[in-house]
Order: sequence, then structure tokens, then C-alpha cells
Amino acid sequence: MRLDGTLDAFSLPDILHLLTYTKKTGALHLRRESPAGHGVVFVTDGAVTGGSAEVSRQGLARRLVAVGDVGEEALAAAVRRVAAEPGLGVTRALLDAAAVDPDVVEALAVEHATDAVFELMRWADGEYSFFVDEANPEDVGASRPLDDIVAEGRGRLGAWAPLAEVIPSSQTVLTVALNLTGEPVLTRDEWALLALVDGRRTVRDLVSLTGRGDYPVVCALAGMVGRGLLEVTGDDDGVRALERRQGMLAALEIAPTVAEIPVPGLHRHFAALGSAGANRPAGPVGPTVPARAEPLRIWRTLAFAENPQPPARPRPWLAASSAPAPAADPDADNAAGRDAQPATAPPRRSLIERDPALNRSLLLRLIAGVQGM
Amino acid sequence: MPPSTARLTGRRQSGSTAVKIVVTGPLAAGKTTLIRTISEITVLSTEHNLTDETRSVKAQTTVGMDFGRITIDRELVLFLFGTSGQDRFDFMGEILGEGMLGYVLLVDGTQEETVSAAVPVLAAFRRMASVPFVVAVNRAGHLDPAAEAWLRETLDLAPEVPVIPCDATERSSVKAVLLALLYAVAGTLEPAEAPA
Repeated sequence: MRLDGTLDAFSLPDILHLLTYTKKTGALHLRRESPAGHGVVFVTDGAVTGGSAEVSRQGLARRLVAVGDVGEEALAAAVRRVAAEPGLGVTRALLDAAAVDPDVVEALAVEHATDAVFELMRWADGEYSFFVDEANPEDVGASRPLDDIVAEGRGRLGAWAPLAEVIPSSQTVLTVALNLTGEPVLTRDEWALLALVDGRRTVRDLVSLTGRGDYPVVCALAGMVGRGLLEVTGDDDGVRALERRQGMLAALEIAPTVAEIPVPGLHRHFAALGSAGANRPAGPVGPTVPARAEPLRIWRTLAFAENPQPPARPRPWLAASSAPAPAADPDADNAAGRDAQPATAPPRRSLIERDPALNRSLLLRLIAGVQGM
Repeated sequence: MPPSTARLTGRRQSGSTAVKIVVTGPLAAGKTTLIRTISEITVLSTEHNLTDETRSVKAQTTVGMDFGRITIDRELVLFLFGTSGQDRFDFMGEILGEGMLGYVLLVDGTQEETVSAAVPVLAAFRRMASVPFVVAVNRAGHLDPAAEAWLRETLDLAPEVPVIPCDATERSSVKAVLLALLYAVAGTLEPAEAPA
């Protein structure tokens, strides 16, 4: 059996209710041209078992990854398996490999399907097609009564308008507020969002990075805006206003040349960088900790002075230093933190590497700024 | 997060530059205190255990992050991010670590077990980031050579990694930690990177 039509004639809630009443099992596909989209809702005996607002994306797997419950090796293995087995989803593959907590996955699957239905309910137009018995590649055993999801979707639609007044579009950019009126308290989800807000990412970027749906992300962002933690960027946001006002004061100030600021101890580090270090005043080599009249607590292992041999090293996560470095822990490397790798070791690219834009001038400004505090 | 490299310096839309230092370490090492001591502003986040059925799965543990800010000059801002100290710091660590200049690994000088607890934290950051770091020993007036040797051995530190005793409640001490990190970063610059 195939059921199809257009959303302008038969709304998504109407279609879903029909599927509920008839206890259908299969996949309801929705497509639209502008903006292009292809979503799907999987139902089993009238209950929703999964869904995605955009089938081209690994929505549930992205959400799972964003929650932080997936190891990199397990994910890579699941991706390889899915690539070799069409019809299998990444989350399902992770579950098969016992690489993720089934309870967590089930809860996320329900959350993901709920978000997907809500986002599809916002489509003003498009076409739908229901395919009986089409299997859900991400069937993880989760289900939620369709009526519940539709009811929640309607509730979200009602709440959407005021949220959209705060977060006007998916292209909205937010910044962290400079000044707060009190100690903020945030949920973990809010914090995960706050950590991603950098004054450049759009709401769409945040939705993508967190793997969550539009509604929970916009709801959380609007809540933080309402509590004064975040600001929608614009000419009057806190950072720009502060910079503009301080710029007025700067016109009266003589900005010192960074290179002329004495930086004790810096010459050691910059000796090889040029002659500017020669202008530094003589001083202690390297950073020093201010002397204290009364030492604070003494390192409790002072007893080691009687037994200078270090105790056996607890290294459940680190390979023995005597082992060949690449084989022992090829990922454990650090520019300043590890001995150099053997010359034969291939260069490894870390997830986070130093920006080539980092230069001496920037560092001088940072050092001078911290010293001047 | 895709396995791509992240850039250190963030050019804000207004034209100012923001750089980030991450303060990490095991639970109760003093990360929050350190950031509060030096920051112009401090945001302390403490998670409530949520009762909502959907969220309860993801919010069984308290997760927090500290955020501090130091305005260097009109066009340069230094952000301090403190990790939660929870077991599941990996995910947040990656978020926090994106674009960091370097990081401070903080341990408690009066609690030896925090050093062992710092091992997986450091291992995760080493996997995640190829940037300099320093080890700060909180609540330690000074470090005797044997204690420092034990700490270096436990954390598998190279000789060039600074190990600094500090008092997270004392501003000048925290400044010294940050400066040590900045010097460590400076030490990684090649002569060719220096501007003319």
C-alpha cells in the first residue's frame, strides 16, 4: 500500500492520526523543494519508533556523539559497517557492538523523533508518501505513542512564536553577556550550548554541533537570553557597546608600544627570536612564584626525601616510557609535554593544534597584560 | 566534533581577538578558585539533577564549567575555561579546548591522589591538543625535588614542562601560573614566526 499526497491538503498531524488509528507500520516520507528537505517518520503499530527532519544527515548518531557517549574507535567501526551494509543505521550498529548504553540511546531516540516531528510539523508545504513495512534503519527499540508526539508538537508550535521573537532566525548569532546580575545556574544542556557560543556561530551551527533539534536549542538559547547570560549580536550588544564606549576613552589615551613594555624573564624565551629581547632588563630567568613569608602547606610527600626513589608509577592510561612511543600510545603527544617522537614516527595531527596566527606580538601583549594586572 | 584542527585565535565580529586558556585537572583541585581569583568576571555553573524523564538519562551527574575573562587591551581578550573535573570531561574538554592557546593542569598539593586522578585528564588533553601546558600544584608553598620528581614520573612529564607550586587563592600566584604557560607557548615559537 502506498499513501501519498500534499501537505496543503492533508496536514502532517492529520496523516499521523490516520496512521495511529489504523495501527500502520512503515515510513512516512515528507519532501519539499524550497527550502529543499526530506524528512521521515517511522511508525510501528501506530507508535513512533524513529524519525528525522533531514534524512541525509545522521541525526540520531550525531545527537549520540554530541552527548559524548561514543568512543572514537567504536564510532569508526560502526561507520565502516554501515557503509558496507545499506539499510543499517549508525546507532543501530553501535548498539549491536555494545558500544553505547541502550537506555541512553532509547531516550535519545525518543527525543530525536519528537524533535523531528515538530520540525516537520512546521513545514507549510510539501509532499508526503507512506511506505508500508519500510524498516527503520535506526530502530533501537524506542517508541512513543504518536498522539503524545503530535500533542507535544502542537504545544511546541504554540510556544514557538515567543521564542522566535527572541531568536529571530536560524542565522541569528549570539554572544556571552559581559555583565551578569547574579550567579547563573545552568543545566548541562544549556552549558553545552554556552560553551559553543562564540559570537560567530549561528543558531543553525549550534543545532548542528549539538545534534539536537531546533526547538530544544532555540528554547535553551532563548532562556539564556532571557536570563541575561546571552545576547543576540547587533550594534547594541554588550561587547560592541563596551568596545564603542571604551573606544571613546581610547582617543584620550596614549597606547604604549607593546615592544617597549618591560617583560622580566621574557628574554630567555625570546632570545632566539630576534634582537628585541636584548632590550629586556636583566632579571630572573623564567617565571617565578612570589616568595611568601609563610609557606603554605608543604607537599605531603616530603617523606620522599628519606626515600628518593619515586614509587611505582600508576599508569593505567599511559604506556610505559620504555616502550616504543608510537606503538605505546600514538595519540599521546604534546608540543611541550612529551619527549620528541622518533624520527621515523609519522607526523600526527592533533584534533586541536596551534594556530599559525599565533605570533610573538600577540604573546607579548598577553604577557604584558597579565603582568600588568 | 569533526576531526579537524581548530584555530587558536578567534577573530570576533567586532574586530577584537579572543584567545583561550583552559584550566583542567581532577575534581577539587582548585580550578574554580583559580579562575575566580584572576578573572574579571566568573561564571560558575552547577547543574541541577533534572527530574524530567527525558533529560534524566543525560543529567545524572553534576556537570559544571567555569568561565573567566581577562581584558588584555582594547582588542585582545583572554578567556579562561575551567573543565568540570567529572569523569566525562572528554566531551566538554573538546568543546572547551577548541582554539585554546594552552592549558593548565591543576592538582592539589595536599592530596596525592589528585595527581593520579590527573593522569587520565592529562592523557585526554594530550590526545586532544597539541599545545603547551603547565602543571600547577595548588596549596603547595614549594615543591621539594623528590616530590617534583614523583609528580613528573606519575604524570610522565617531559623536563621542559613547567611544574609550578601555587596558591589558587592568591592573585599573584595565579598570575605566575598563567605567565608560565605563556612563556611555555613562547618557547614553542620558531624564530621564523617572530615578526620582523
